[in-house]
Amino acid sequence: MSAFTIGRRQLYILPTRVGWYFTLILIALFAIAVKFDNQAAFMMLFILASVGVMAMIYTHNNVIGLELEAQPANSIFLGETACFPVTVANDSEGERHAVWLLCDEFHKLLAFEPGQRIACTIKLPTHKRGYQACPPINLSSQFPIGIFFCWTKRFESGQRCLVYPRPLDLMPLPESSSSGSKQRADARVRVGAEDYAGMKAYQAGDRLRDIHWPSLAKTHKLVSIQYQDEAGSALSISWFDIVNHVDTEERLSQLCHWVQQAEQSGVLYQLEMPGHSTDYGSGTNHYHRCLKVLALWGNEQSSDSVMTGGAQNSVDEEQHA
Amino acid sequence: MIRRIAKFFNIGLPPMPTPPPPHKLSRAILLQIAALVLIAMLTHFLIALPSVAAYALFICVFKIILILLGKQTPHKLVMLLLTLFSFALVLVVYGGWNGQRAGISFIALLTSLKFLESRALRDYYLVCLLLYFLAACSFLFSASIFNIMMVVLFTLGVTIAMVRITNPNPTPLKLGLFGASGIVAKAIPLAVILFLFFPRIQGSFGFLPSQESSDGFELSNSLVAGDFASAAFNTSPAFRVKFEGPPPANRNLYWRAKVMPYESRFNWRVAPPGLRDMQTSRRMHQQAKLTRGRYRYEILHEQTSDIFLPFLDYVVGYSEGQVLADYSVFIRQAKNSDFSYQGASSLRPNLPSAAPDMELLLRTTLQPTARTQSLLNEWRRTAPTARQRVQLVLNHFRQNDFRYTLQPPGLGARPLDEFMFETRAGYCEHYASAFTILMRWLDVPARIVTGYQGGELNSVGDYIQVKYSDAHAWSEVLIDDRWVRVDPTAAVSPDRIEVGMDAMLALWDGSEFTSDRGRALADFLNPGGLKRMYRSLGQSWDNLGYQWNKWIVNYNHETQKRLLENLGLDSHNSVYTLVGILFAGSGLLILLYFWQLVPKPTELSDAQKTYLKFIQRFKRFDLTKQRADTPNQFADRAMKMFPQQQTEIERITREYVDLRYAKSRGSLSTFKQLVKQFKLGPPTPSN
Repeated sequence: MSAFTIGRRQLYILPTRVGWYFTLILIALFAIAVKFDNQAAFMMLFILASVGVMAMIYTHNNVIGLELEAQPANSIFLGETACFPVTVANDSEGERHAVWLLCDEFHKLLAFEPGQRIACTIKLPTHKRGYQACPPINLSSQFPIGIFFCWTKRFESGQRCLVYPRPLDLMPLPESSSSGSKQRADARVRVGAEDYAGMKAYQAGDRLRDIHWPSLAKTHKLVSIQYQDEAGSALSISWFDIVNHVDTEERLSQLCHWVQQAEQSGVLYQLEMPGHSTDYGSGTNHYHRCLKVLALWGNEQSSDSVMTGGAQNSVDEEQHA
Repeated sequence: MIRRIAKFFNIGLPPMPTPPPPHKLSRAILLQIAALVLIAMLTHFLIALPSVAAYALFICVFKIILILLGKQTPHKLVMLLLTLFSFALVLVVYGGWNGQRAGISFIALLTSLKFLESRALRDYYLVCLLLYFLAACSFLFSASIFNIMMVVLFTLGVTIAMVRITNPNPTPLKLGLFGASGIVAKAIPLAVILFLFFPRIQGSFGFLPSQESSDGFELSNSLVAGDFASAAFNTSPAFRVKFEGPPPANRNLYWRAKVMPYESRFNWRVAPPGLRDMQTSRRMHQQAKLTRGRYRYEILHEQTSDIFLPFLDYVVGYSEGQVLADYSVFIRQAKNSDFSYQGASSLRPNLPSAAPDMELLLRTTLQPTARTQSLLNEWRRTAPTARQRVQLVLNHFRQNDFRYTLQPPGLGARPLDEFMFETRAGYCEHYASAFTILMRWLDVPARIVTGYQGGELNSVGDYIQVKYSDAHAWSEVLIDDRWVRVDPTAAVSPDRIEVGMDAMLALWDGSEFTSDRGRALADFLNPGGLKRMYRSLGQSWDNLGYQWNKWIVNYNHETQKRLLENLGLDSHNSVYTLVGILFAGSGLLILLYFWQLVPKPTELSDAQKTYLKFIQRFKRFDLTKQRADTPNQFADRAMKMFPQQQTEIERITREYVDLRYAKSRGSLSTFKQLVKQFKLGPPTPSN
């Protein structure tokens, strides 16, 4: 991933508002020293001015030489927080105090021992499915006395985070549509007729009819019944299973939920979208591949990369492509 | 704001990040700031009127209580009332805004009010900055070394507070101290350089209040019996003198400041110089030279509003002011800080003065009573010459029971009579006044001289310190057209002149000099262990103050010019030179910075150097190693050309490669040995 070392040309420094006030005080002190020809006041003026200069050097040295390194981000569902992991390293022999890591609305305060590396995660809200790029990252510091404010050039980390649609359970998986689709007959899930496999705590997305109601009366907990999948049973999750008047985002959300469900139940499943469909499969890779199709649905730019395998790391994958 | 300015000048600023969120200050930091404000307000008592300082203190304590209760600020209405009241207080107490004291009190009140209404981070920053300012302003009232030490410590404290405010992570006091002292310690050398070379502009800012006179004792332009005695216990220094060579004996240390020929009912007054006097003065001024005279010295005077400068009697040269016909020296405008000047003196009047105004010197407003008249008649009869009359009066003081006291009794309507026949006790001014009047009545022209007598020798700094308690008055009589100093006090209390005022103060037990005078005096002159230590400690401290005043407080335009001259930078306009130096200095620093950025070739290792020597051998045969060649490639070419020496070349190359690229293997000494032994034979054509 991209890395960024803060050199002299990547660093800006300006007085803060307090710094301007400080200058004002120095000017007033200068006037007083000259007017009264007071050498002690001159001395004080020079001490304060030198403290100002030293503070500038300290502030500058507090940030210079830090290294920023961006790691690939994990894919997440819409509504969850996007996490962009970065490492900030202090390879110098000095301590660094109170350095802000700033990225859009995210801010985190860091302090470094000599040679310390700090891994932190930039957490940002997600608003839209598809790729979300990490906004430019800045480091900034006012250490030590807050009269100077030093910040770095914007670091475009190049990190992207794939945001899957928000899973929504709007309707059950229609049986009729499953049978009507062009799936292999033997692979069809016989909903409700599976072999009993055991009980488990209720999870959002479990079918209502799987809930074991007698247990609720006894334990006041929702427990759902699990069924053993038959070997070779397969599920086709299809865009066309959803009635037409539902809008695209909701459709994608529903499909997303079904994919999640299918992955949980461990059956072989397939995602069928207008234009193309994935193979039958299961497991993490297949799961993410399907979700990626959903995430990037309708996004022309990324549609070519849709079919090239769904790995955990969308950005890594971009590089391979 | 800066963005707007930059836009105005068409400067594109780099994008700024979103500002980090302000953090809340912990109670520990708030209490530290509170302590600093509290200290500032407490020291404000030294400067301002107690009512103002107490009010500021009250506001500060109010805030501390709020902090301890976990609250932030009082209600807006309370704030408004407190603010209005503080404005009113300054107006009423000082009668306006003008004046330093009013100004600094105003700032102090502002600081405490700002502290009271502080809630956000920025407010506390502002309080810290105001504290910096307040600390610096305290120098207008006292620039003693003690004060600056306090102020530097205070500055350090404020810096610690700022470090702790800035860091959103809770910073313990120790860590803050560590950070702040690092900054302040590094700032001080820079400050010293700036102090030495920053050009001192002789300017004036009209909008600032003018300097106020210090409220310490000063020699007044008139002498009223009893005035000096009140200053007898004021042991703050008036000036310090450093002699070139050994100083004169204590009894010769008469520091003349003012001469008072005008008498009115036992009181004396300085005469404004007349036209003829000014002509004489001008003539004397031309003759006065620092190189003349027996004693040369430099005086560092504390700040005073007096225009008469003390010089050792009799002045023959001076670096400051103008001498008058009566040997006193005045400056046209009082200095508003400590100042120094040089002087040269001899023990007799050397500068030729004009004939004095006899009528003035014999005039008295006091008329002798019958009792005094009989005494005068007797003296006139027994002593025909002026010299004899002087002796006679001195003997009269000596032989009758006249006492020298630091608490002279008051005198009534007939002061001279009362003094001569009833109280017979007085301080120097009583004796000098009485003596001078008696002299005038006896037709001997006489006048009063005031100034200082004696001084304490500081053995640590090798200078003489003269205190306000050394203030003294004596007489001068004109005998055979020459002025002769007569000190009637010496006739009554020789110790005052021989040993000095310090001894008198040591002997004084509150209302009376000790009966066991001899022993106490011996005790004073040869103090016991503890006392001696105490005294030398005191002297060391005073010396510190002296050096401080000499080098720092008194550093001005002229001293700066002298420093430049000593550095060999002589010029007409020292300001230009200094600006030049500052520019050159900062330019040099900038150059140094860029020079440091220039990439430098890496130093060759020993192995590389030896290998280069090895390659050099082949140069004769037109075999050179190209930059891109590896040692092995070069060796291949060399071996082709010199097949007989194949083994040596191979060994050397292997050794070098090992040394250079496989640090663990290869030995430098063998490699050097191999290269040394290597002898190139004649080449054999490869084909």
